[in-house]
Amino acid sequence: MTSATKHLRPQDTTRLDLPEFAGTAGLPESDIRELIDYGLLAPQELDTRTALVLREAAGLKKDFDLDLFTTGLLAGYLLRIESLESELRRLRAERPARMVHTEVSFTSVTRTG
Amino acid sequence: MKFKDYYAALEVPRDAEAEAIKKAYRRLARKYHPDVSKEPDAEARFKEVNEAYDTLKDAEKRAAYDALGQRRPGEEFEAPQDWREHFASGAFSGFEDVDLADLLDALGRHRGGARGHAPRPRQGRDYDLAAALSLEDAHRGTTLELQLQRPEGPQTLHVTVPAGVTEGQKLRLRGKGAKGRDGGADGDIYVHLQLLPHPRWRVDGKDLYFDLALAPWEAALGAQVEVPTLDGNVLLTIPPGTHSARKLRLRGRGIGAGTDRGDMYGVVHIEVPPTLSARERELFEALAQESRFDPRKQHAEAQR
Repeated sequence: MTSATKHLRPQDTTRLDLPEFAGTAGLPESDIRELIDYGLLAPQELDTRTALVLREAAGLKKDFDLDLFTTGLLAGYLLRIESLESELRRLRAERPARMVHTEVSFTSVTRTG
Repeated sequence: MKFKDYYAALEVPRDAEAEAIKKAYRRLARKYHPDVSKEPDAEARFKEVNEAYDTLKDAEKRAAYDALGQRRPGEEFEAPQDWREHFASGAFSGFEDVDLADLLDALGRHRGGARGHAPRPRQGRDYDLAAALSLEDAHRGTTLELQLQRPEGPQTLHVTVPAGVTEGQKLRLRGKGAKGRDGGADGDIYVHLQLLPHPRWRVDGKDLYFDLALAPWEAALGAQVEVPTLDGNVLLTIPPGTHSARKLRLRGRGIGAGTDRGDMYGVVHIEVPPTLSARERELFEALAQESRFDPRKQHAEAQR
């Protein structure tokens, strides 16, 4: 089972060739070319990270009978969500787990002269 | 063969327009989609509406289905003779084993052949499985035992997870998904890995974070404190003058192995005693009298 296992990391920006990219994204190569023609996918974006996001969009395409253009737009937004989630994870990791909020009294300071 | 009422599944009348069928499908697919639905039988209902739509969206398959007439759901019926003739030399070894969806699906594919073209190869579908694993297993590697529901019955998969996997990583098991048809490749299995929350460490990629609580004098004078890591406790040197929110890096103590291993960070926060003994109060008051340190002034200067 393990001999045919491939590891796909969501942060991996290693370039893939068109057949490998299409296979990972779960779309035919002709669809990938069409997305490039629409300007929804740049040739330099053919990497594992984009393929995995596009695969998620391709699943929704199938599940909701979406057209390819909508799928491409969706993938763009999913990529953005993925970036924001990654940033949020980093910030949460760095933020102390224990934050205490306390209401305190205060008085105004008046300076003269 | 058991009859399935595809119109009832999509909650549309038998004379519904194609656009109304599409609309009904999307509404129900949204309602029962396994990713979002909280309905108890969501997955089964989703499959049901999917199967119904797969036939009713295709004019020719819909016409063939309509020709069967209206029957009670689950009613046993004999497939028309011409269907049997079509498929006698087809992909099915035993005609009685196939269900209505398979038959209508094959009808769609047979159409291509009838026009003088070989049927288009169809790749087998991929299966997606989610697997949650502990931080320790992600670090050291493990073997997962996963249950997969295949059409031919449940299957247990033993999947080797190597050391150093991260949140969101996917394992693609090539050719282990559904069988391809008409010369198409077999599908794959995707195992989506998720890390379970850990009571001590927060995870960012291969790096680990933990809160490092220090007493004011430890932060000011420096200290050596014992902290846990994935490989056992270590003695960590706190530099003198360590301020709150400082990140102290323990290189190579994150997730993974070898040169690819992440780091561990202790995020400093300074704790003060919640109550002071008389002596502690005396010492703090003496320090307050003696020290010229103004943290707010220092902070303002650092921001300039």
